[in-house]
Amino acid sequence: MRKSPGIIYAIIALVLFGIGAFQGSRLSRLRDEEAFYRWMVSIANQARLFPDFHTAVDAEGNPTKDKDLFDAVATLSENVLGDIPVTDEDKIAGSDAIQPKIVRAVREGGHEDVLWSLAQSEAFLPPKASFLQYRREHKLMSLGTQFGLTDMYTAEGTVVSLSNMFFGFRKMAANLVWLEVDKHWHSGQMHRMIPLMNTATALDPNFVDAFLLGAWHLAYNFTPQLKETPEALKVYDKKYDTWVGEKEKLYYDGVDFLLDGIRKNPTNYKLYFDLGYAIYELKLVDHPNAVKYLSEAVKHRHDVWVRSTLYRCLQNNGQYEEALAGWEDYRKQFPGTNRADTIAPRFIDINQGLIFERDYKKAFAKASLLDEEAKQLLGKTEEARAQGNADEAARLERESEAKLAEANVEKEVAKPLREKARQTWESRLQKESDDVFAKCALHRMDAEDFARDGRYYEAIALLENARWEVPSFFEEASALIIEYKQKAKIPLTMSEQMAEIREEDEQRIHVEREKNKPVN
Amino acid sequence: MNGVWTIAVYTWREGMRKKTLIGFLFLSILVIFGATFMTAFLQETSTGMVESDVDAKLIKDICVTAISIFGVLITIFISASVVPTEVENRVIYTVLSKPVRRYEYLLGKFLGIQLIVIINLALMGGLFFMAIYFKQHILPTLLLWSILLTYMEFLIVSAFTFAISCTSTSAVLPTIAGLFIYITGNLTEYLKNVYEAAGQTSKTIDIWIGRVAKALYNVLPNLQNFSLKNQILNLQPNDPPVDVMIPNLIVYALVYAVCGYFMALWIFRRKEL
Repeated sequence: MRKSPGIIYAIIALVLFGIGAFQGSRLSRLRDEEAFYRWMVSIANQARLFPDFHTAVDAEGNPTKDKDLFDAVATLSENVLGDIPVTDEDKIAGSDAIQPKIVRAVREGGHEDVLWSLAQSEAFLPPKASFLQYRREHKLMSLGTQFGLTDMYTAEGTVVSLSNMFFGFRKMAANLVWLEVDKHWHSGQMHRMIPLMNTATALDPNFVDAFLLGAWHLAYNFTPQLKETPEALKVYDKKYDTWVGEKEKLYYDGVDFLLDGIRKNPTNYKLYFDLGYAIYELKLVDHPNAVKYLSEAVKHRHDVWVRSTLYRCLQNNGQYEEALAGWEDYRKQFPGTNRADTIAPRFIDINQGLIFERDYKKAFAKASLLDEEAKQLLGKTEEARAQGNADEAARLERESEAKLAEANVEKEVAKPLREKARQTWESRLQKESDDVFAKCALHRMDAEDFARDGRYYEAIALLENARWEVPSFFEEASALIIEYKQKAKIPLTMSEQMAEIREEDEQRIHVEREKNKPVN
Repeated sequence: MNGVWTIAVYTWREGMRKKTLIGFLFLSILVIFGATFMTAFLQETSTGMVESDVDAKLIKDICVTAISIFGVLITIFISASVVPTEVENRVIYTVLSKPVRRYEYLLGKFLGIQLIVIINLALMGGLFFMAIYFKQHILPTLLLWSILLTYMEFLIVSAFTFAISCTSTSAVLPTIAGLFIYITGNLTEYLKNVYEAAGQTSKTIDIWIGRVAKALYNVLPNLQNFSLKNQILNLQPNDPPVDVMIPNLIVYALVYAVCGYFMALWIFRRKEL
């Protein structure tokens, strides 16, 4: 009898051990499902932002299985997910197709619970089994994102995952490696930084600041000593479908580094922001991509100035209406702040002025075209009359008059728009007498007025003064001076001739490149 | 139950007076405070556009690591020494001569150990909380979940170390065993890689290694399950997998903890005193 309680304890311990083992297997299954869920979210994000993700290769150079698996998941989710509204950004570039529901669900946000239940559901067992198999075979590019860290390490091709080696202290190891990066940066040993940056981000894929700072180093700090590569010496980069020199190559290395960070941390706005603004907008001057990534940044939890940066990039990209709407919304949302009271009204005026300018220029251009067509028709009328074809001549004359009338209508439309643009700039200057943008715009309009009246000398004189008065207007004014001198057949200065030769060379190189562009 | 609680409180009081424990606690506080100075090695760096939070991250990671290292050392040390010390000092005879059953005695000791671990973790966590608050001026409420998961991990280590300590009259062997349990618990994940990679050569030994690895992987406690405690600090607001994982991890830890207690009870039941 004395031994019985002892046996009972042993049996209870064994039973509990068994229950623990069962719970352990449940946790293992949950972690697999978590990794699958993270992968689904990551890949849906990538399919929308980086359509060429299917070209990724694994460590041995073979194409990864992400695309195939994603297609299977997308097909299954079409029938299971509810209605997800379609927006303009869901259209796939270059086709009429729209993004699959799962991509739209991730873009819209708020469907995390549904996606998680899909990852656990029986319907998704086949793709989940494939995912686990591809993960074992290291055939996937993006494994988990923010928290499927063990899976990420096995993706690097190692059997023993780094997390095991560091007993969960890999974040500490990443920090210590980053201290080394910092040390090398401040001692000027840039060449030692890159492998350490990659090591730090491999050890801790959630180390967002490593991605941000690493990309900053690549795009800003490695490049200042480099000279600009002449256009003729730039080489074609198939991945980015553009021609790159030494500097551009480093900018795109920064892009790649941030894209890797986005893949592993798809909900962190800072990565999208740096990619869109720091690299695409400021370094590559690629406004469409800048807008694309900044638009992504505002979808996640972000700081308030991210939106204002997006509106400025929208303006630079010619999307004045969207920028205007954004600034007006900004002013309503944050009343009483400096941005809302001082900065937003300025940009509202600027965008309004730019809209008027764009519209009147469009109307004037259309009017010029119609005038030109009317002139040609008049010429044909004279020819027809000379040939004795009175009916044809009459018809052509009527057509010419119709064109002229249309041109006049366009001019009537353009005039008030031009007036409104001028009033917008003048009222801007009244509110802020040293507003550079308004000054540049007024100088430009005045010069255009002179040029339109054939008063090229006055236009050139105005621009000459203006470009020294407003340094940011220098390049635009210089280009206009060259244009008016050519129209007025005034000889160009040596530097202006050199600028023209450079411009012609670049255009010629551009044409040749388009002709001889390698096929992707 | 009064007896259990009395033993627990007495164990806690005795434990908190141990010099080694105070030493570990003091070192951990030093490291947590020192974390703020370590970021002085990082000169003011920001990208052109976005302000970098590397120093805040450094503080968080150092604090989490310090809590993990010192927390597990405190847990192992206290779990390994509580019973053997009393056996060595013969205090246990005095206690057991009272109307206290062995299971009550062990339960009281076990709860006392948990009180010590919880209070130490609370202290270290509180300092971490303050360090982050002063740095970032936000209340890191997710830290509470991280501390909870850390405690759950220590609960498993503590339970099995406690069980082994019941076999020994000295604290040395259980301490070594506790460290071994912690290391093995973290390396269990490796067994998964072994059994997934096994069987490729079709040799019998290869297949059997895979089977043994799979059996061990399924049976042994896997402390890598608690790696969520590190990642949770970067958590996004709505994260369904974590909402499911946390309760399951708590159940996992409690089951193994109770298992460890019953193992201790089985061993202690047979011990000649």
